[in-house]
Amino acid sequence: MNGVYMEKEAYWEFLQKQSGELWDEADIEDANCILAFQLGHAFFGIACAEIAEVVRFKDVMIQSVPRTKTGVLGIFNLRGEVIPVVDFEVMWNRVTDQTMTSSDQRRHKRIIIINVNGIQAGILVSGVLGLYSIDLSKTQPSDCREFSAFVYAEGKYFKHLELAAWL
Amino acid sequence: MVKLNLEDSYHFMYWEETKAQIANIEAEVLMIEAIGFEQESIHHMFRMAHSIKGSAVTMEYKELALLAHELESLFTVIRDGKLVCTDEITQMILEGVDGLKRLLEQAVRTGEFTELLDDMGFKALENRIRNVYSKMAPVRPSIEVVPNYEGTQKLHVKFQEDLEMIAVKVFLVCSAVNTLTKVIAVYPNEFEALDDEAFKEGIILYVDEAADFEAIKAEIFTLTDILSVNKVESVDLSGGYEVDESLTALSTSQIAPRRDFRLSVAMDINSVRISNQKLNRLINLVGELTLDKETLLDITRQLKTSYRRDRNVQRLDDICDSIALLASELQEITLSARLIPLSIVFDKLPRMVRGIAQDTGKKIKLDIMGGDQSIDRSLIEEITDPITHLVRNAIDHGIEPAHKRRALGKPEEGKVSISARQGDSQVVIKITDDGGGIDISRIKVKALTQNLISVEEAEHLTENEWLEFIFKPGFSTAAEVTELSGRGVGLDVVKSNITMINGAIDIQTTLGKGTCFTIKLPLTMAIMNVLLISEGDAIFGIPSSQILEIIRLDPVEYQAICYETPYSRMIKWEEDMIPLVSLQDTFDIKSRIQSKHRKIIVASTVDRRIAIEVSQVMGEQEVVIKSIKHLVGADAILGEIYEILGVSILGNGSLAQIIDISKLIRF
Repeated sequence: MNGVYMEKEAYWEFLQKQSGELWDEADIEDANCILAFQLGHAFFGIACAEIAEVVRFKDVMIQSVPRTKTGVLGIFNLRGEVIPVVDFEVMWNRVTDQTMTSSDQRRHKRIIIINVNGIQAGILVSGVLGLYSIDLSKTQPSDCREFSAFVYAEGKYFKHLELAAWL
Repeated sequence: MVKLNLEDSYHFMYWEETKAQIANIEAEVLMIEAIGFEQESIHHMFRMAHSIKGSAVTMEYKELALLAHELESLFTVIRDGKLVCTDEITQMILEGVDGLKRLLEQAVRTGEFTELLDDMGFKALENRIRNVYSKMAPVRPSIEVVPNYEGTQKLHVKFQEDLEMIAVKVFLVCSAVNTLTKVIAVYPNEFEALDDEAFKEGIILYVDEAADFEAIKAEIFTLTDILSVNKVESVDLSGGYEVDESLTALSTSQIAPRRDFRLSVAMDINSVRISNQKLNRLINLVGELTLDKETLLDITRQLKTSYRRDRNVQRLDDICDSIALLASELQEITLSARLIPLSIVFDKLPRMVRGIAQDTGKKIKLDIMGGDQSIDRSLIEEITDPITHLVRNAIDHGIEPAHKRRALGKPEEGKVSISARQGDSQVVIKITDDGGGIDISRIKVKALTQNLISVEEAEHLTENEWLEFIFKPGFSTAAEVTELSGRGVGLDVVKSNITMINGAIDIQTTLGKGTCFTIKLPLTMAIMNVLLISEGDAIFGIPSSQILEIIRLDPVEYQAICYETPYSRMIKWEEDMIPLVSLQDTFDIKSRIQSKHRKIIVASTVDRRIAIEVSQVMGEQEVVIKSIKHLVGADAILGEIYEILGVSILGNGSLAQIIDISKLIRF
């Protein structure tokens, strides 16, 4: 199930505006908060509690690690920590022609650094939309293997990504 | 009395310092026992006891101060040559040290000492110490002669009648007065070691005659147990002091400046304590600094291309170089701060060995080597118990009793040695004894009777496999269970502790000759020299210690030494044929660098050699290797990669994956 379509220019503008925002500590503490992002065509959300930070893709140097699983882009150095980076699109075999490769699109790519089971890892995403509060009443369960539920926020449905299952 | 709260920084500092001072006394005593008495030792011990006493008083741990005071008095008579330090005395001092430790522990646990004091041991100990030194107490002249110093005013301070440990109070008085005006002299001099008796008539403080007496008086009275403070012209104390006017020649400037009365903690430890959190934050910040420094360097480089003539750009260039040097040195030092020398663990052993030797009636010599080998601080905790247990075992079960050793023609003194060194990518710790060794036949019997193995399987086991039984829970071939070991609980815990930190342990033994336990720990963080190699978008490193030679060949030379078969390639190197692998192929990397010349690195591990062809050799660098064990494994993020033993962060912020040569050899 895909998300909402916007006109291309308007969409980029939207992403640009979003990526420059600073988030409120209070927002992050909220258990109903998700970080919404886009991966290819689709929109996803991750629980805020699992997020450490977000870095710009073009700012980091990712080095490939030989013979890792598919979808693992490699590792990079984040202030002294070795962080592995995962590209779910590659991992789930859903590389589409919309996949961002042009330098214009690279600008918007972000790596979301998450903390799972005490280990830090990075997720490559096409763009980050922001912190949203979810409306619990509208949550719908899903039986798709990549995510656990559809959560509703800001007028759209996002797929809730269960990180522990993947990493 | 207050419970010591280790979260509070002031309490923590007190605890740390006192612990260190107690340890210092203990170390000195053990040294005296081992290599004989030295005047410097007793001075040191005196200073330590004195400091412990002083700080205990400020913390209001009276009992701790009292015990320290007794020890201090004992040290004084030894120091003054009035008492010889015999074995009996050192034993007593060690008991005193133990007492101090227990009191300090109690301070942390509850802050209340009453239950400990009810334990007769303490009082008895203090009495014994007092009995010893009081016989040797310095004789006091019956009439004290008080010197007079020009330019000073004399303050006579008297204390409450039942005040104890007046020496400490005098100290505090001096500190207090010092905050207002310098205490030029005190009478009696050298008051620290004096008994309460000596202060019956109070003390004389000499301060500058221009100082404000009233203010000083008020300051002194802020302390407790002060009876009176009076200015005196001539000191006329009935039955006490007389002023010797003939000494007026001593002017203030000739008086040696009284040493600073600050509560000096004479620390002989050249280190500070820092929380892990702070250290990690420091390391991370330094890393961040390094990245920004790189950006700065980059920008400067760009400016140089456009504005080379600009003087300011040139200045910027110079400063950047300087910053780069500072940043990389900072990084190196902070990263190495995580490493702690094993001597922290090893230093505790002599005392323990002494105790067990006494308990078991055996004579033991303990050899320690390689204490300066460092391991990551996270491992130090985990490794302490296993090492301690193994040493215990060696003495308890390994070394035979003296008479048996004599019968066997062995030296009466049993030897236990512990050594640490850095191996290939590991720290190797060995604990050896020259005792009776482990009897495999007893293991076999035990294993069979406990039904741990069937008779058929037993036929096929090797000696090493039999030895592994020792690590099974509940397994012990010790004939009797002693207090220390033999319950069969120990070695399995030792092994599990070690495996938990990704280490390994194995045993070698010879019946009648001795046993050796070898512990191997991975280098979680270690500093190594590595050769950096670039391949594709990745940088790899090979530990320099494993590199035999780096060869650069043009196509002709290459043909001459290379032998290809459909399955493999070999090269001829120094009369040997060595397998040749290409890093690109092994790691499935596309390299952009195409060059005629081939670069080959000949490397070796313990017994095998391998030649590795690489695209580009970047140079050698000393790096800190971080383990990526948490990212590697069947279920882990990176999956199963075993060729990479760790990752290093290079000076410019990029990463280098350090290769484990032994895993490449498979190919």
